[in-house]
Amino acid sequence: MSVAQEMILMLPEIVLVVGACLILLSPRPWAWPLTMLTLAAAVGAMVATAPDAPVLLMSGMFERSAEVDVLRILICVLTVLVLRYARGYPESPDRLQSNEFYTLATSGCIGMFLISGAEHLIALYMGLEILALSLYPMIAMVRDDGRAGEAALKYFVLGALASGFLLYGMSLMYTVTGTLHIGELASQLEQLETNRVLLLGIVFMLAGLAFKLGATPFHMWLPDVYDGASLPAATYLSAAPKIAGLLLLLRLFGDGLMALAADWTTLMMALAVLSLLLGNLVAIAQTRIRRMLAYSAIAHTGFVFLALCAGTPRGMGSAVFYTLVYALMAAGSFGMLLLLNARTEAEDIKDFKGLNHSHPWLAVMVLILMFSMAGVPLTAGFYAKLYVLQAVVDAGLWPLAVAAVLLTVVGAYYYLRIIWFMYFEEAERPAEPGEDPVHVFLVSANALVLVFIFAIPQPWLEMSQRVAGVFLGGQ
Amino acid sequence: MSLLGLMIWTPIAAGFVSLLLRDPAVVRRWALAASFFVFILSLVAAANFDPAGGYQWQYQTAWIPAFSINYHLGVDGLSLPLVVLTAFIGMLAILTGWNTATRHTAQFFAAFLILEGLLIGVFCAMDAALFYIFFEAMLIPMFLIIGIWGSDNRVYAAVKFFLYTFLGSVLLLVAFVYLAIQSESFRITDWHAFSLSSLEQTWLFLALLFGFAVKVPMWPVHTWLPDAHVEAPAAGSVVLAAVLLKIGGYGLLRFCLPVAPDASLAFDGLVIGLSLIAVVYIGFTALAQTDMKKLIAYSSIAHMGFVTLGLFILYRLATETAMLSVSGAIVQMISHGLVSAALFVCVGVLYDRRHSRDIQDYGGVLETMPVFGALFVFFALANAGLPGTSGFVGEVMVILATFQAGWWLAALAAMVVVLGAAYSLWMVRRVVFGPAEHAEVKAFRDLSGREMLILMALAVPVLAVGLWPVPLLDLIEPSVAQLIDQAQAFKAGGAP
Repeated sequence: MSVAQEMILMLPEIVLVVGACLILLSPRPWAWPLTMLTLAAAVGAMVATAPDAPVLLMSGMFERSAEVDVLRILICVLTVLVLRYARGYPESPDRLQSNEFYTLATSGCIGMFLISGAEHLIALYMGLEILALSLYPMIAMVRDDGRAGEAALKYFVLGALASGFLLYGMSLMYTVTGTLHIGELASQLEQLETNRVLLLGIVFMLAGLAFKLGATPFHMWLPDVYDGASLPAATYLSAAPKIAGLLLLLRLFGDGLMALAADWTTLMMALAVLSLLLGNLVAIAQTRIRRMLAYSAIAHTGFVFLALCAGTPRGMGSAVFYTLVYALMAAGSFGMLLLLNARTEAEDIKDFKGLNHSHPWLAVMVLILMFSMAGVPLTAGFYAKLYVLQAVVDAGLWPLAVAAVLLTVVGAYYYLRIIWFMYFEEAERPAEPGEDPVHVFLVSANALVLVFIFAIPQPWLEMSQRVAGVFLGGQ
Repeated sequence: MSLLGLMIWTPIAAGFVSLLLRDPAVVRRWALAASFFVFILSLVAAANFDPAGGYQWQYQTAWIPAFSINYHLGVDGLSLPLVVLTAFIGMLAILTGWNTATRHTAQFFAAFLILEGLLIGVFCAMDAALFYIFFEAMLIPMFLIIGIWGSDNRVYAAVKFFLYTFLGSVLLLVAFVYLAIQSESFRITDWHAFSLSSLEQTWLFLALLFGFAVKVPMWPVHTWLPDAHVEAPAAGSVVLAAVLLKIGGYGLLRFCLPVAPDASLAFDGLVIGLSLIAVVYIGFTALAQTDMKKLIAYSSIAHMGFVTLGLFILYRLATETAMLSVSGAIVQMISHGLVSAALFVCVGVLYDRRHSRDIQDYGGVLETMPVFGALFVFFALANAGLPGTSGFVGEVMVILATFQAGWWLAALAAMVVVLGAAYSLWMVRRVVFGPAEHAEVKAFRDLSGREMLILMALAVPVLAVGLWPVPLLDLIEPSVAQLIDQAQAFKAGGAP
């Protein structure tokens, strides 16, 4: 393939890099429109240059496939959504260092794009670090807030440690197989007997990723970061990077290490059950919405790990679908939180009290989001749960499925609490959500999409299965 | 759209429309009109139903091929009476709640309409995933009904209701997923024909039993019911007692017995034992209540215990008598639906006047409310199984059949009649008869036209089924015969 052809296929990334530089250098009022333009251009470039079949680029460092492009488009859409939500916030990026915030948001997308295409361990690591290095300053950006600094430092130190784990695991893989290319790694591993060095490599890589994704017992940073960061930064963190994290897992474990599935699934089971247990139980005790959402994120990560530990194509597909739905729910929940905080601070769960009385429409939207998180029918969250359960039971792991659903019931409690505060209780002080019609429209659309996916899930399910198929195609 | 689809989606759509209506008076009429329309449709379905024809009014279209889930509706002799009951009770519940909601009136009627649509969906679904979706989705409106318009301790009751039934239903989901993977289909009739080993059946049976036992509710997973009933508004209690509990019985009929017959045989002693505990122990518990709603709630548990007894005793009977007991159990479900609804309406009538559910706050109601007193006594007698009322038919059928399985089983089962008479009559004696001592009671006004209409509408089928049950039995018996065949078609080579 000629360099020009390769450049054309790398166009989405190139657009983002150029856009990020321009945003940084542009006058402040231009930052927002330029960001939107950049992300739109990236989506346009992806659509225009979509390949018919997966192709390898840059001497096999990256892979470009139309299926994964769909998730990358979703990453862009979620980024646009969360940045728009963040605009109405009193400490919105516009009023802080707007150019920097938007540059970091765009460069985070570059990292996510690289992760989604990486076919080489170093490329994967590079993507992950670009994402992480965009997130650290974004969290620390509120300079006069001690908690933001604390959160950023915690995230940075633990993130660096996790990167070290991951790199060490990768180097162990290299010592055994002599390759860093994921496709070659996979074919090498198929011919090798499992040995202790490989097992050690798996443990380190999985530990590193569990840190990054916030799975128990490596989750400690996550509630502090969600709570300490500025609300816009937390919102950004909560949605699109989850999809990137999933792609990372799929590439590494679904594609590269599939031959060792018997070994890593056991570890993932432990991570999954622990995350579900801790996330759901500790979330009950939270009084701040963001901490509750953080523990709920841990529990949902557990569900994704559960899907992966089935170790089957169906399991991979269910993980994709689950993450996709979860990213939408998380973006919607934080979007709602930003709306409620637009004029006065409403960070406590109690601030939801009486919302049905003052703002019935918003209350219904929160109701949809919460029931979707709990996995109750008439919302997409139900299929997400059903799909994972199906994969897990299909793999013969039905005790795990029973454990997961029992913990879902525990989890339902704290989602219900928000609903009962909205519907059954009187407000202590009247809620004053923002009135920006675009924001209200977007957050409503975000919630209603979950009902829409419930009614017509087939295309989304097929798409998830196709994405999983791309990662398993190297087998 | 098929007739059944129309019956499911009309109330749901009407519910969403009513959220847009501002004027409470308009909302009420709109909701009543929608539910009346559904009731007429259910009568049309019943009138054109051929009892010997198996599943009818079927409508099927692929919905989610990735999970092999179909949108598949249909009714047979087991579900049709429950569909008609749901449509009937749904309409009366709207009338019962006519003046309940002083705030969020539109939301109140929307919740009831959506609930009605989902409940009809549960009984019409022939695809297990669709069944489950309706089964779990109806928790949402019921949760809101209890929580928003309930009495003082409503939050506790609503959350307990939700979590308890959610716990039951998630285990059901795992069982359904397992069955779907094994049989590669979500169609309930495919599951009936699908063979399973006895170990598989055991686990599936336990999961299904737990899921449905919570809904029935069976002792010892019944504790959510008294709370939910007491705190719910009268209209909510009516739907809860009349229809929601029947879903548990219906689930046992539709899933437990035909899908896992060997395990049903192996565990019939367990279910019979739990049912008898419900009949006797919960019967005595009801006797001790001072709160009228709680008393009727416990009476519901005892009567539903009788239903589960009638279903699971079939393995100890010859086919002829098994027909009698299972049909009796279904008649008992219908009858209890009507009678418990009527009793909750009666308590609601009193509560509207006195704002108390405590038996001690009443006495001598007959002096000021003679018509109401007469109807209350009538329904209490129907609850106790007075000959000539629907309560009698189901009870006598099940007790007669149970005799064949053992006289002591029948003797314990007959306690439902003895205790039922005791707590029902003792309650009306203290509430209706005697001198009117409380000044408030002396100021009572007799039934309004609306209340009279509701109670009369309920009295008609109670008497009709009691005096001439043959049409109802003709309707259900072919399906019951088929069910008994399925329940005795042992899949894993187990012999009775």
